[in-house]
Amino acid sequence: MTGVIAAIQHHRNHLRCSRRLVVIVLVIVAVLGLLSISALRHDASLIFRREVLDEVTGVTVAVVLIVTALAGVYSVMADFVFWEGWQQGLPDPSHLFESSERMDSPHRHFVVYLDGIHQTEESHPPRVSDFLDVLEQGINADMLLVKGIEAYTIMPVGLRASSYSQWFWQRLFALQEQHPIGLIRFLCAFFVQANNVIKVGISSDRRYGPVMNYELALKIARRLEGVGFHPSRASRVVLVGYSGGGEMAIGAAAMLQKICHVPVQVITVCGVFSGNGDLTSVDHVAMVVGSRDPVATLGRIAYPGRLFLLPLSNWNRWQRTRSLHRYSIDGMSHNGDSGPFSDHYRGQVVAAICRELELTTDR
Amino acid sequence: MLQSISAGLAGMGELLVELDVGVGLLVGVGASMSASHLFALLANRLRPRQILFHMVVDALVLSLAFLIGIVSHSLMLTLVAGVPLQPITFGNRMGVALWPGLFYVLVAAPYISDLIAVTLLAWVHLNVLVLLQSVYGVPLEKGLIISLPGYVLSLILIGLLFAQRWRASYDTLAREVASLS
Repeated sequence: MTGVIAAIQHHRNHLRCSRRLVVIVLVIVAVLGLLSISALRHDASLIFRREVLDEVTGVTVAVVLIVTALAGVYSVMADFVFWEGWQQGLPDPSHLFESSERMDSPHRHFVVYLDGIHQTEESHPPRVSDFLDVLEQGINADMLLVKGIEAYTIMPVGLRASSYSQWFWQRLFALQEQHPIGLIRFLCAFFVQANNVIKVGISSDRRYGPVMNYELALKIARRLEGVGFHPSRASRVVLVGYSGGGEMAIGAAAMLQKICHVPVQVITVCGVFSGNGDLTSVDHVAMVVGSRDPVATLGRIAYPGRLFLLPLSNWNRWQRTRSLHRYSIDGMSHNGDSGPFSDHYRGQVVAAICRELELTTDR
Repeated sequence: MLQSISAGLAGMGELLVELDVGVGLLVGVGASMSASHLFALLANRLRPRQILFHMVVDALVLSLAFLIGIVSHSLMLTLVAGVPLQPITFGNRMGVALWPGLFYVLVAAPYISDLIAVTLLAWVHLNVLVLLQSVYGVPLEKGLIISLPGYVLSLILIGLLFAQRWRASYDTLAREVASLS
């Protein structure tokens, strides 16, 4: 016990020293910067002219746009390579659920959790894990919660081991582990979320979506096979998607239904999704939304397919034939202390999911 | 505000006149647009030689669509502003308006593709308007009337090519993926 406390104390001191070091470096850089500006006042005044700043801003925006687009193209090509089978990564779905060696699960309903765009590996952050524990306790005995699926990689691995980009992620995460300072953590979170947002974009793109969604559906099906799912015994699969996981769930639902031969339904929690997903064969979709969720509101603007202005979008067409179940939670935001995984709202979100599961159990 | 926009557009027009790259840019723009849908050809398992052939043909057809647009602008300029009909000279002067189309390959990016496509096509049209003003002294509102038919014609041709080839390829891909499961 004393050893553990000493280790924690040592780690705390180490962090404190690192923070002091960073502050000192920043102060030195700021002083040097000011001295340089004073020494080159004339040139500095030229740099801060409005035209120059405008030009710099324009070039920066253009570079960011081009880099984002190129990153998207790179991501698409990596997905395509798997679909094409160049790496023999994807099994034939017709051979799934054939093995006679494995033990069938006694469960009839399989609830699959797909995490948001913060996900970097198959294990979930502590707050999400706590939420999933509560959900696991809340669902009926004949339901199995399947967690730990990485929704944003093709193979059943985290970003660190994903093909074609592992060189980047391994270095980035190693840097974060060696230097756990705020800036590195911010950069890490930024790159992870940018990568996962691109994956959400691919899933909702009408050109590339089918390939990406097929790959995800196959990954989920393989995982279900691993936990003892069999079409002859199971009665349904429920995809619960948080934030961007909502888009991945909607994108993969129809394909998963075909692979697993059981009805698939979707529950989004603070879901950010496009409305482009093909839901014609999916009967039940429910949304758990927070009244103070700015990300989901922004998502509605970024994804016009859900606006009434586009009545022929897949989402609007689905809503004309089926009824959407909507659970609004007052005061809930998208993440953090007022998000769905917080102590305050966790219970309400779990109750809404369980209510939806009950409502749709025997239909 | 309006004055600064107007001055900005005039400056843009002068810059485009100075560039003077002519119709040679047409092929580059066509190739960029064709490359933006390379995925459709790859995903439908065409061989490298077939892919190259399709890309070249698409690039030429797209260049032709823009060329028809430029010829239409030239005709309209004669009809509306009374400028003597000189399609080749006009084409050489106006070709530079297409330069944003060189970035059309970025339309291959997922999800934001429509936004990029609309922005680039609108930018091309704006370039045409400012060039008409800089080279022929045609006011912007009159330039809009002159350039509209050619612009619409080009868009229709591009749309037809999209529907006939790329959209069909993506639909085939979607059907094929659905049949796998």
